[in-house]
Amino acid sequence: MGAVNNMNLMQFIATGVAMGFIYALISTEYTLIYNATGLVNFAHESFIVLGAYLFGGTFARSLGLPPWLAVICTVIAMGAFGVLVSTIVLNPLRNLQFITYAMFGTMMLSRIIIESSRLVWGPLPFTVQGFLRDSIKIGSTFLFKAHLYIIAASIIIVVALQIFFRTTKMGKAMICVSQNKDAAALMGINVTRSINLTVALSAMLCGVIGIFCTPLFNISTGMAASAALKGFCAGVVGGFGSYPGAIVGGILIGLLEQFGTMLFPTAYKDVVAFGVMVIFLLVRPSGIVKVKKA
Amino acid sequence: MAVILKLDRVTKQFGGLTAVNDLSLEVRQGSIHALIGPNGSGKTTTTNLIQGVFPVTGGRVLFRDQDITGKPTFEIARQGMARTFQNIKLYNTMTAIENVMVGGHQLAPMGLVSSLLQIRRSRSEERMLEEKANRMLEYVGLASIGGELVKNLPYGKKKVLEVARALMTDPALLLLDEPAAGLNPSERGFFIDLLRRINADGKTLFLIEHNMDVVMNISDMLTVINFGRKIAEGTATEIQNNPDVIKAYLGERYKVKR
Amino acid sequence: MNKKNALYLAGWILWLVALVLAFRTANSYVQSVFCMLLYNIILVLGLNFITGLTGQMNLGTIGMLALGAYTYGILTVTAGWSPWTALFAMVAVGYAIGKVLGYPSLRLKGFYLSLTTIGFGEIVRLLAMNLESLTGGTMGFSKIKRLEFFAYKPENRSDYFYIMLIFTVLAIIVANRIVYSKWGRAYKAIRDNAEAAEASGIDISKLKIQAFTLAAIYAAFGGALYAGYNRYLNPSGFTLEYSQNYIAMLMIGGIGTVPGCILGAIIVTALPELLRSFANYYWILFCTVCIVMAILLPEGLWPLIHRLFARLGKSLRGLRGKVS
Repeated sequence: MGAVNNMNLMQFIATGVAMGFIYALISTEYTLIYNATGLVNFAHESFIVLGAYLFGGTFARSLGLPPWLAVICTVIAMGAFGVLVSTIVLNPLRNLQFITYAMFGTMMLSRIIIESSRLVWGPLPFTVQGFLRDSIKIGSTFLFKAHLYIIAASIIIVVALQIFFRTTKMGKAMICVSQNKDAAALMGINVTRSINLTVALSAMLCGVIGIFCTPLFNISTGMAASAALKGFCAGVVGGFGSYPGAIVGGILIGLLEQFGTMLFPTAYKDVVAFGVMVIFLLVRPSGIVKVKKA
Repeated sequence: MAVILKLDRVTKQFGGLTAVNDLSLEVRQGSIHALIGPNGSGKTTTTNLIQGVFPVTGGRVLFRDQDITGKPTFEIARQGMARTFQNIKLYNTMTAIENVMVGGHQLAPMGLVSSLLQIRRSRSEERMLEEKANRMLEYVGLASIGGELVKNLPYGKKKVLEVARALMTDPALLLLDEPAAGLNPSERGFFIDLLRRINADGKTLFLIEHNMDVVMNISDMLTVINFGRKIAEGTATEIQNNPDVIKAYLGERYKVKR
Repeated sequence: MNKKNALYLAGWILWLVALVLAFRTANSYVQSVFCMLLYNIILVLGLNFITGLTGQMNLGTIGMLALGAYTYGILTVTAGWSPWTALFAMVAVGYAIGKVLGYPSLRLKGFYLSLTTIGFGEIVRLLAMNLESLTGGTMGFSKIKRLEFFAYKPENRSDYFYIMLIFTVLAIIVANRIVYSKWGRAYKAIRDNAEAAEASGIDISKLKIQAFTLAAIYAAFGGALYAGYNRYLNPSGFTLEYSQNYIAMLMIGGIGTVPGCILGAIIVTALPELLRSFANYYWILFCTVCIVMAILLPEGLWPLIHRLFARLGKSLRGLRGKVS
């Protein structure tokens, strides 16, 4: 119970929920690409890393932009990057005979991005000074500012995504493509373009996740490795392919992980998410929110 | 004649949609039984329910007097029910004979460890499979193309190869999902002969078919379904004169002129 | 034994003799690359069962290797078992991994195996780092015992090459017998069309778990040999990157075939050593080539070489026909 004594319960929950939202966003982003292309994107960890480096290394440090402008620039740059990757790698890969080749392709892509980042921004980890690093006092509790921003921004993003998919023509087209590519093509939807857009959207999301991670971890090539895996776990726990499931799973894992530190040594914190996922695979493989198949 | 396959009030719902509704039918041993109906009437769903690809929502399926409802597909297959697919499902990276040999996997009883340790026995088992596969290829008239990669074969041969693979499992009942679809008239004629030959060798056939020439030609018994419901059952002549069937499906053209 | 088999055997022996000769004349650095190649071949042959033939992405190869290596180390040093008994315990290790990890992840359709195996690798690494009393933690685990073959007692690393070679040849023979048997065919059938395989009476989940278990046993054996070769283990050497390298070997060489696996292992093991001059750009170059190959040549190199040889043989026979 040592962890709780040092840390107020409110703070404890806020940390869990904030991490949970990060996992939820990662899982949402997986779901986006998985639904659009049928591929599991192993490169997305590197997308997150790239987002963090672009934000911290280029826009905030080298160019000295104010944080809000750096955020916008990162999101735009990541969107452009998404279109590029989708055009030259993901679209050719999705037509291959076996899914294993495509997975392999995304893994290699991931390495290229990570290696390039290391070459461009150097091998040493760094931080963005003063970006969301302070705390706010509410009553007797100190809350980490970054956590509050993450929670608020994630809720806005999730709601915005839902509105985008439900109301706009482009969003509806993406949903159509994710459900049935052939039928969508027959209805006159440009499938390739729609996939490009989906990947761009997911790369933008990765950029945002990368920005969120900068105050929590140092910017380094390995910064997103465990978060990426936990986002995956969150997807399975929530129900793979379901957007509400991604959020429920993410927050559940974030909280369980926090409370897990009360029971187990902190070194095993990273095992919690995985353990929860294996239990779900055994007991309820469809996840909390079952995806309806047409 | 004994009943080999019996559907007892089988129902299947996908969400709110009822694909198969309270369907009962009996397939007699040794017969050629056809299931016909308009597009989307639930024919392929019925095959999938029989083979356990999806679970039924209600009702029972009996095969050789045993309840097979809810059993996994591979177990049903081992009990003697083989099938072909509407859109060909072959193993594209393998040769024709290897495809057929996979059909015999379950007939070869050796486990992995024993087939690694007992070299001589596993060789003879392999020879047995190969000989049998060759016989099957010969039976369906594909003896000459055994070594060809499946992806290089023409459509018609692929359809026949699927039958050979199904026969390799020694089935008592063969489910054929649109066997004549996409075949040209001469291939179709060959296929009809093949089906008759298989039937004459003691196997029961249950086929789903759109091509009326094929169906009316070879079926002993026909079941007509529409919107997942049975609307008629009987011999070819009876069906051709059934007003409901003509209205729902056949049209006036197939009515037998007196 | 007929003439064709005799020729085949002679060919293999020739390769082996050439390999041993090359090894003996090489300097100690090249010798270490040779040794690395041997256990890499064992691992990629194992991976071939589940990923190459059955088509299920396994990203936990390094975790399996680590578990095998640490178990071997702990059994020989801490528990004082003889190296041979410890080596055969690897079958149990592999079997346990196959069942415990394979059952939840392979019963379902989809990509769950790739996920759970990544997690598995990470957990093994975490345990190796944190269970200090058992594994030595980040300080590493040292003084692992080597196998001895009757009177042959390997003194240094390069002596161990010959013992590893024996096991590699054994691994190749077993893999060959499985790949070109009804098992190999059934695995491929699952990869090509699971629905049709099931309709032929094949129990898909059972065979997938079996293929995965084979991969785990191979990896555990490879791990034990690796532990005996290095005599030292450190958790920092067991990252996901290595598991991906084994996938690369499989894809580059040509999935599903035994010679393809060997070829892939050779290329991926030797290439970093040959391309040292590219320094920092080596990885980017290598990965780019991999992506291009995945898109343009998804069958890998071996089928290409095979076809080339077949065509060469045909034209040679044609020439001979003209002459006579």
